[in-house]
Amino acid sequence: MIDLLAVLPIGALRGGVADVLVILALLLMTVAASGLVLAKEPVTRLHFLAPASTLALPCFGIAAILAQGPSLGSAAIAVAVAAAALSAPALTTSIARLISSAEAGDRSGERSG
Amino acid sequence: MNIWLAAVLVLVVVGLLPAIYRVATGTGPQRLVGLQFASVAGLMIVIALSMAVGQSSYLIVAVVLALLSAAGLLVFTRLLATEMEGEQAADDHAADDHAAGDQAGRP
Repeated sequence: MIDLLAVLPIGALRGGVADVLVILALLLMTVAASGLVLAKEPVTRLHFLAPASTLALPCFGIAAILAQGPSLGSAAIAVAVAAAALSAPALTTSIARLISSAEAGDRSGERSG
Repeated sequence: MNIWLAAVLVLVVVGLLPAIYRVATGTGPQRLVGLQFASVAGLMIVIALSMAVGQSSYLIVAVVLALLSAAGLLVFTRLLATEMEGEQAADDHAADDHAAGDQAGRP
């Protein structure tokens, strides 16, 4: 069994998966950035933050963990990626609330003015 | 050039530049969208740079950036909300004064 595991190209497979995940993360970031620049409405722009923070970032973190192997650095990557990915929806909600209240204030200002 | 160094270059062009453009234009709340995108791109850049040069000690920067960027964004939203409430109250006060002046001047 141990001989069989030694023969299997697990290291190469791990590197290949890491490369695929890095490329996927970069493609997702490209899509999110183009939407962020091209979208006209502020709330529409907010929707393009989700693929970057909840898909691209975890993909990139998993790729880095796979490439590095089990170590303290991998734990640091996991903590950083988890903190950013878990806090992103709350931050997006608070920004959306702020943008909608600003738009409501502008509308009421136009109505009274 | 390994894939991590290429990822750094791609992330600077595709991630940081649009984020800086979005941070530099628009109203205050709209700029926060760019700030959050910049923090995500910056986190990925630090991780990729650490992998590219093989220095795992750089990853402490990524941990601190992830924790502080979330707190910083929340502080910005709170400050901007307070500022907008103050402006709204000043506008309402000015509109009330204007209406009262119109009524006093009417015969």
